[in-house]
Amino acid sequence: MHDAREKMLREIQALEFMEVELNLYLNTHPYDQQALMIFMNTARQQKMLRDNYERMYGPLTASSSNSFPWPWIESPWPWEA
Amino acid sequence: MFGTNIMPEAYANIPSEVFAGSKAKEKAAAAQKISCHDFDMCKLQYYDPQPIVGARLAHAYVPFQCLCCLYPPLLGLKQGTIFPELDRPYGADPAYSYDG
Amino acid sequence: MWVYEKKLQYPVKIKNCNPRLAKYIITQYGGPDGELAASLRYLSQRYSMPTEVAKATLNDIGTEELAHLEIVGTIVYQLTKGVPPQILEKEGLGGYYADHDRGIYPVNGDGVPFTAAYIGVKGDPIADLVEDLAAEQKARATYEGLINMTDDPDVIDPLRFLREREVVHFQRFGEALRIVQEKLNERPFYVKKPDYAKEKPLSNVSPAANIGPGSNVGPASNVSPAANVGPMTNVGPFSNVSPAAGKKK
Repeated sequence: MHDAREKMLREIQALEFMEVELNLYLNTHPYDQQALMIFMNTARQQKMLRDNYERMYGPLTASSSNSFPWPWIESPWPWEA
Repeated sequence: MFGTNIMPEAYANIPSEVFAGSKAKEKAAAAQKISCHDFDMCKLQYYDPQPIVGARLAHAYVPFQCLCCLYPPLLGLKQGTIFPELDRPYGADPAYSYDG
Repeated sequence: MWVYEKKLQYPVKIKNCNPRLAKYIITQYGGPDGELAASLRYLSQRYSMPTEVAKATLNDIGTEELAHLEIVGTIVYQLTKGVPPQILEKEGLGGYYADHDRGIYPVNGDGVPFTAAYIGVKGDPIADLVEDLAAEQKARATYEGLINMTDDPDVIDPLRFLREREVVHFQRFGEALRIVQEKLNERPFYVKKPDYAKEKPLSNVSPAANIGPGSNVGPASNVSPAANVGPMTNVGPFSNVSPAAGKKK
């Protein structure tokens, strides 16, 4: 159970990392259309995975909290193992 | 919008379709899957990047990066970068791991 | 503004405590080449950058450094979690424990607190970007030193990740520097570009002079030497001088 959550989180981290890398690359190569296509694909995939994760394990951003009681305060916070 | 302010190397990887019109978008989208897995070839770009043309004295220059392959996301996260040409791990090259 | 996501950029799961190592790793939290210095530096420099590329680069890398700050804080937290105070004192964290208990306080490896003197914001784009290049190299070198000091793979893993990020940031700042240099080296050939559209139409041109559908289209319609009763035909300085009067010698 714990492992499934970690695995899912790891995938989201990987895709988000890819987005950040491409974001930095595109900042200095704004006309690189290939990179832009990959960025948009990655963003879309990441959004899907993130929605899945949030439905199962709770919000990743405060603005996507949508249950009672307020789920944002729940553990674990990222610095807790 | 950027006018002439961008270095020519930054135009690298623009497919000619960008300038060709409306069909370009579909063509570009179809062709954009990176299927190259030859990371070793991409890593060679580290040693032989785009030449710097028109360099001036008293200026500092870093060569522009050209998009080559990309690591798959999980491997990229583990290595710390998705670009093989920028993947310079510590300890892999004994001459680079300096410890006086 | 910033949005926080409840996850680290890179996972940190440290199983073995090591307070002595934590004492050194905290230099990347509040030390001169640490992530706090880096993010403050970049986020402060972005305001005075001339090109959009430089603003975006500084903005996004500054944001990423905040995420790295969190990773370093997590490493230190996990390395000292549950360690009794006596052991903390034996390993050199006695002074830190007395002031901060288990809290994470921005200090360097010797306990010197963070200061804005670690960062430089010159306002000059070249100076700022070259300083950022140096900062990335200093951070990379610090991470390599920290990696040299430990064998624990759980600690080396995030440190390697952070070190590689510094290498990539160096490349990005280098590219931004080139773009800024190119812009600043541009030489404008015209002090003021001629702007025909703004030229004032001459008031003594009667509407009848602009004959035909084409003649009113565009700025050129106001410039027609034939219709203008220009200064050439008016009385000028020479019109009163008859050829005979000019010969006064």
